[in-house]
Amino acid sequence: MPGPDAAGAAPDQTALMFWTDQATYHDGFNTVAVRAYTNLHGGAYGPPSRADFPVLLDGGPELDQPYYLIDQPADWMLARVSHFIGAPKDPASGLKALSDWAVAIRTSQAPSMVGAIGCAGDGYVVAWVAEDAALATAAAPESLFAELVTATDMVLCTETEHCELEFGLWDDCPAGIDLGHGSSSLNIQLNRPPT
Amino acid sequence: MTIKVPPNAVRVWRGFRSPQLAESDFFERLGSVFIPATVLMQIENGLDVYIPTIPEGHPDKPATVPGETAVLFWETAEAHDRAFDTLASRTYTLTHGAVYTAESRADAPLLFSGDLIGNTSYYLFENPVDWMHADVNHLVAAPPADMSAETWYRRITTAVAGVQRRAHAEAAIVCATDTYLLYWQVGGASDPGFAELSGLGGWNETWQPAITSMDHGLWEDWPGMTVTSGASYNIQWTRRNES
Repeated sequence: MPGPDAAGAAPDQTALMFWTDQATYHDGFNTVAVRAYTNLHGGAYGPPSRADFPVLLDGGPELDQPYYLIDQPADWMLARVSHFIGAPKDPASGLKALSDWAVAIRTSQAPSMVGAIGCAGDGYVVAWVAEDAALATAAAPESLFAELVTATDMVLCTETEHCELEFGLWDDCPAGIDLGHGSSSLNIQLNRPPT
Repeated sequence: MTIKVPPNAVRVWRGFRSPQLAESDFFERLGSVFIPATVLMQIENGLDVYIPTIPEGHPDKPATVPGETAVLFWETAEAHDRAFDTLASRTYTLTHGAVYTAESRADAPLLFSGDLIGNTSYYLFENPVDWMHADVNHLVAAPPADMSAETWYRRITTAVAGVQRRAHAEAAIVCATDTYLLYWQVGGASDPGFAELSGLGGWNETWQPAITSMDHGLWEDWPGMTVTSGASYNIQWTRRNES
């Protein structure tokens, strides 16, 4: 979540939600739980909030379409994930910035990099990189998004923080997750059912 | 199993459909999300009774009459309040914003002692009753166009005072505003009070909420209920103190 000084066009909250597969996501709407969860959004979010599945980047990116750059499965929950949000310095340059970054990611072929996702919207660019925690270097997150840092006014660039969910739906947890003040980026650690 | 709950451990809900939501979408949302989620997300928090009614879309219903009414009984009033310490209850509560207007509300009733304050709920009898396994009758009414608010409240007050005094009914809840009356009664079929209230002269409808089982869980494949205008349910489930 960007902090209080975030650029006006940037999202107030971003998130990646991985599912066992896309069918599992769609099947979820057959349950009261998922429909109830989805119904939450209207009270908190307004347009142009949206979520989409990414597609493999092949050619030039288009606005509002998320892309993944590395065509291999990865466990993002256990990875070191870094996240970037920026507002293009030139309103028309977001897609080029995203494209330049994608080329750099694919060219680097860093062995530690197991996933990369990016999306350019109207007035913002968002991106995530997942690294194998055992192979990742101690380099600052900005080094993973250099082309985006150059082409945008950075809103957020940070390594996500692993966060254990220590309560269940019906446990006493009046405070929920303490998001603190300013920006925060969490990698929620779930007890996933075995597949 | 009978679970008699305190007469004031109840939330009396009056919901008005958000104008952002088409009527058909309102019914669909009630059936696929709201009514099931009310039960399935609150069982573990001590919800014991849920009786929703949908006057929305009823012919000639004034716009000033709620589109959905409900009574929700809890193990105790404290159980309801403590529920907000859980993610399930906060999540469920947040779902209301997209469906209902800000005018919609729920409150806990006071014991009726002869005076009726508008937009305040009252219960008439102090004995605990298990509304889930009871004969419930529900009235929703509007005042006649030519009746003053003073007369409207006076006639309602007289009628419910009579129900209370005669004590033929086991339980009763009333809530009135300038523009509508909500009344639920358990038992007391021979008591004239219900007919007196429904005969006040304006638009009115009565329901006997249908016994309706909630046989599905939160994470089961289930499209939900088919809710239509005029539906009324006394939802049945295994309460946490019964398991």
